[in-house]
Amino acid sequence: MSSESIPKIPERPSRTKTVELSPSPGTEAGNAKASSEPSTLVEKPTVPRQRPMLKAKTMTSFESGAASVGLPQVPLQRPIRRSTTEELNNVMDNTSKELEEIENLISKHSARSTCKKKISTASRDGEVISISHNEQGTPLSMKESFTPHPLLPETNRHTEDEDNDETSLSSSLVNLSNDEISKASGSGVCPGKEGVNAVLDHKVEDKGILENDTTPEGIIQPVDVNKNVEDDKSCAQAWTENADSGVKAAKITKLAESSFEELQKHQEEQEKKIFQNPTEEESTTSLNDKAGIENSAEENPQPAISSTSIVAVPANGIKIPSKSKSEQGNNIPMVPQSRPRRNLEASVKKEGSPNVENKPILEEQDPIEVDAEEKHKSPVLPVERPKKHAPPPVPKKPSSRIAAFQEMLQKRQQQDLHNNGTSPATTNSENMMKKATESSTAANTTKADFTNKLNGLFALPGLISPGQLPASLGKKLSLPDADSPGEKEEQSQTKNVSLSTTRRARGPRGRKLPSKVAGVEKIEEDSNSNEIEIFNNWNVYSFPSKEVALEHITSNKQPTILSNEHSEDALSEEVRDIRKGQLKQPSNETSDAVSTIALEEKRENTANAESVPLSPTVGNSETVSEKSLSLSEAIANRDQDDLTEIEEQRMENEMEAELGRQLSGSYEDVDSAVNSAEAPYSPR
Amino acid sequence: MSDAQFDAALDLLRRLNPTKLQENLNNLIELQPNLAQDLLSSVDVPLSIRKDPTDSNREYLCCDYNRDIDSFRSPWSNTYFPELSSEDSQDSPFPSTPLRQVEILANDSFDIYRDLYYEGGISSVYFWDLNEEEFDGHDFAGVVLFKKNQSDHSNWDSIHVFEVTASPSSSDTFNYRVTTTIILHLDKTNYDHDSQMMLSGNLTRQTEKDIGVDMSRPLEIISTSHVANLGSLIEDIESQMRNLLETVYFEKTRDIFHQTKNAAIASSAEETNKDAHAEVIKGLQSL
Repeated sequence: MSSESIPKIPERPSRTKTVELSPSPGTEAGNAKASSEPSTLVEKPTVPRQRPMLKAKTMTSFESGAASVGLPQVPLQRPIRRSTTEELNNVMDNTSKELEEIENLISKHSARSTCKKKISTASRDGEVISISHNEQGTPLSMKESFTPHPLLPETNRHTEDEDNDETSLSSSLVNLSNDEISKASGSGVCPGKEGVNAVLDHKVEDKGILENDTTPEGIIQPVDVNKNVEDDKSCAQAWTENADSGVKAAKITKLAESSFEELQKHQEEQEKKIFQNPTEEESTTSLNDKAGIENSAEENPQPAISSTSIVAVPANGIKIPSKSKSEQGNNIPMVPQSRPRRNLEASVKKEGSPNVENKPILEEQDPIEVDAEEKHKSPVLPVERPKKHAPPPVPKKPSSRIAAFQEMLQKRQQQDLHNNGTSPATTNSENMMKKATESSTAANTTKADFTNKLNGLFALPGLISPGQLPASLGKKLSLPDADSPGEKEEQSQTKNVSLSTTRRARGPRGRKLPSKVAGVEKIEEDSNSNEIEIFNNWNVYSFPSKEVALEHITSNKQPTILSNEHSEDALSEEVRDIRKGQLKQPSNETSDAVSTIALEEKRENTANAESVPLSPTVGNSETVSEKSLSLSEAIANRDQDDLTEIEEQRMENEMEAELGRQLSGSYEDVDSAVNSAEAPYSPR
Repeated sequence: MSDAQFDAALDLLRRLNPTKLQENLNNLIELQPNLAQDLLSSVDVPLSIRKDPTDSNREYLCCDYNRDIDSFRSPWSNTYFPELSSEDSQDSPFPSTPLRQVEILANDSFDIYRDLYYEGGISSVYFWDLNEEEFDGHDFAGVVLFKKNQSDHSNWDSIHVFEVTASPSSSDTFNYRVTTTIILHLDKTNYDHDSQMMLSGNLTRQTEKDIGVDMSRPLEIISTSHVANLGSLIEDIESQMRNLLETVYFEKTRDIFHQTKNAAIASSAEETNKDAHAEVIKGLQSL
C-alpha cells in the first residue's frame, strides 16, 4: 500500500519534498534545536503585522505571518484575492484529475487519520481542502518514513542546525495550522480525533510552547518539517482546542488561500535554497527526490514505518494547508474584515477550490518552473484586482471582429508600405476606430440639435444643391482622416465633391446597350415654324379653236420672225394679253389658243425662253399644258401656213414621236422634243 | 446640348418616385436614346441578383458595369450569363489578366467585409481597365456592390464606383475617387392597404482621396495596397453615410411623424375649445 501511494507522491513539487526531506532526518532529534530558532523568530512577530500590506511579494511576509498565527481574520480578506485568481484557477483545472486520484488515496488512508475524515465530511469544499493537504501531505508522510533512515543522501545532507530550524518552524506552522484547522473544522465533526491522536498529544504538548513562538521561518519550510510528527498532532490540537470556535467561514477563507500559500511556500523554498545549498540541489531535482524517497521507503527495514507513513499522509495534508492558511492570514491582515456573506461563502469556496487545484500543477512542475510561476503569479495578483473594481470597456461583438480585420489590413499595409513610413491605411483604420466611437457619441448629441441641422439640410429648393452639405454638418460628417497629422504628411485628402461638377467613372468600354434600349428609335423633334406645302390639286388645260389661233398667228408672224431682239418684250406682252383673255373668256375659247400659239412661236425664236404659267398653279403641269398647246399650234400652222409646209413632214414625224412620249407621261421630254423640233425655225 | 439634357434627366430622376426609378429611366431613354449609355451608367438602380451556374449557383450582383447586352458578368467565373454568342462575347469587355487577379482579391476581401458589417447579404466587385494597355498598377476603375434583403420589400443597396488614377503631382501617389450611392427601401407591406408604410430613397456622395503607394514594389503588392486602400476608404464612407441616414433622414422622418401626430391632437383640442366657447357665449347671451 505504501509503495502504491508513494509513486504518486513524487509528482508533487520537488521543493516541498526537498524541504521535507531536509528536515526529516533530524526531525525528532532536532526538535530541541528547532526550538532555539523560534526564539529568534519570535522577535520578528511585530513585523508580520505590517507586512500583510506587502503580502506575498516578499518572503518576509511569510515570516511575519507565522508570528501572527493567531489572526483568524486574515482569511476573510483572502477571498477577494481568490476571486481575482479565478482565471488562473481555470487554467489549472486540467489537473483536477490528478487531484481526484490523490483524494482517492487520501480517502483510503483517511480511515487511519481522523482529521481527514472530518475535513472530507465537512463539505465539498472540505474535500478540496483535503486534496490540497494530501498533495502536500504525502511528501510529508514520506519524510516521516524516511527520516529515521540515514541511508538517504538527501537526509544526510541536512545539517543539524538546519534540522533544528526546520523543526522549529514546522512546529510553529503546525500550531498555526491546527488553529486554523480547528476553526475550519468548527463544525465539530471530528470528536474522535482526540482519541486517535491521543498518542501524539504529548508530542504536541511538548511543541506547544514552541508553536506559540513560531516564526515565519518555520512557515517557510513548513510543510516538510511539520509533517513529521505534527501531522497527527495538528489534527488533534485543532479539534481539541478549536472545536468550540467552529468558525465555518474560516474554512472558506482558508481554502481560498491555499493556492496563495503554495506560492508562498515556493518562495520560502527558494529562500531555503539560498541558505541551504545541499537542500537546494535536492529541491531542484524533484524527481530525484521523489526517487530517493521511494528508495528510502524501500530501504526501510520496518514495514510498520511505511504503514505509519501512509497514515501520516492525510494528517500532513491537513496540516499543510492549515499552515499555509496561517501564513496567508498573517500576510494579509489588512484585508477588509467584512467577511463575505454565508451565501457568498459557498461561491468563495468554489473559487478557492480551483486554487487548491492549482497547487498540484505547481507541484508537478519542475522546481525551476514553479519558481518562475510563483514570481509571475505574485505580481499578477495585484494587477487583477483593479480589473474587478473597474472592468475594462467591453468591446462589442462585431467591432472586435472588425478590429481584427482592420489589424490584418494594417499589418499588410505596413509590410507593403513600410518604405513610405506610416501607411495611410493604418491611420485610416485607427481613425476609423476613433470615428466609430465618436460617431456613436455624436449621434446622441446630434439628436438634440437636430432641428438646427435641418436648417441647412432641408433647405428650400435652389438654396443648396443636393450634393452639397452645410459647412457645419460637413465638418461633423467629414472624415476624421483629414484631421490626423500623419495623413497630412501623406498628402491624403478626402473631400466630398458635388456630383454636378464631377461625374463618376465610365464603365468598361465595348459594352453594348441592352436589347430593349438598343431598339429604341429617336423621336424626331419638329421645329415650331409653320411651313406651307403646295399640292397640285387641279390643272387647267385650254385648247384654242383653230380659227382664232390662225388669225392671231398671221397677224403676229412677221414681227416675231424679223425682230428677235424684241422677242422677249413681245412675249411678255403676249403673255399679258393671254392672261387677260383667260380671265375674260372661258378656257375653251380660241382667243386663248391664239395667244398661246403666238407665245409658242416666240419661244421658239428665243432658245432660252421660259415657260409662262397659264394658270395660278405652279409646277410641271403648267409646262405640260404649254407643250400641249405648242403641238396644236404646230398642227394649225401646218394647215394654214404655207411656209411651214416644207418642214411639215419632218415636224409630223418628230411630233408623233413626242406624242408617243407624251402618252407615257414624261411631259418634260415632250417639251424638249418640241423645242428641238421647233429649233429649225430659229435660224429663219 | 447633350450635357444639358443629361443634367436635366438626372434632375428629373432625382425628383421622381424612387420606387419607379427603373420605369422612369426607361422612359427617359425613349425620349433621348443617345443618352442611354450615360444614363444607364450614371443612374443607380436597385441591384439585381443572378446565379452563376458554373460556380455552384453562387449569387452575384448585377449592375450596368458588368452588363453587356442583356448578360451580366459573374465575378466568380468571369463569364457572362446568360451566355453571349461567340461574336458578342469576343467584343464583350473583360478585365485584363493582372487586373482580374486583383478583382479576385478584392472580391475575397470585400466578402469578408460584407460578413463583418452586413452579417449577410451579397457582395460583388468588378474591375475594368481605363487604358487599353494591360494593367500595370494604376489607372483602373471598378465598382463595389453590396446588397442585403431583410425581406422581399426591404433592401439596402450600396454601390461604390471608384476610379484609381495616378496623381499628377507625384508618381507614387494615387487619386482614389469613389462615388457612393446607397439605395434604401423600407416597405412594410400589409395586406391591409390602410396600414401600408414605405420609406424609400437614395443618397449619393463622392469622395476623393490621395494615397501614396510604393510603386517600386512588385505588382502583387501594389495591387494589395490598392485593395486595402479602397477597403478602408469604402469602410469609412459607408459608416459616414449610414450615420447620415440615421441622424438626418430618419430623424427627419420622425420629426414629421411627431408633428403630424401632435397636429392632429391640437386640431381636436381646438374643436373642443370652440365648442366650449360657444356654450359660454350662449349662456352669456341667455342672461
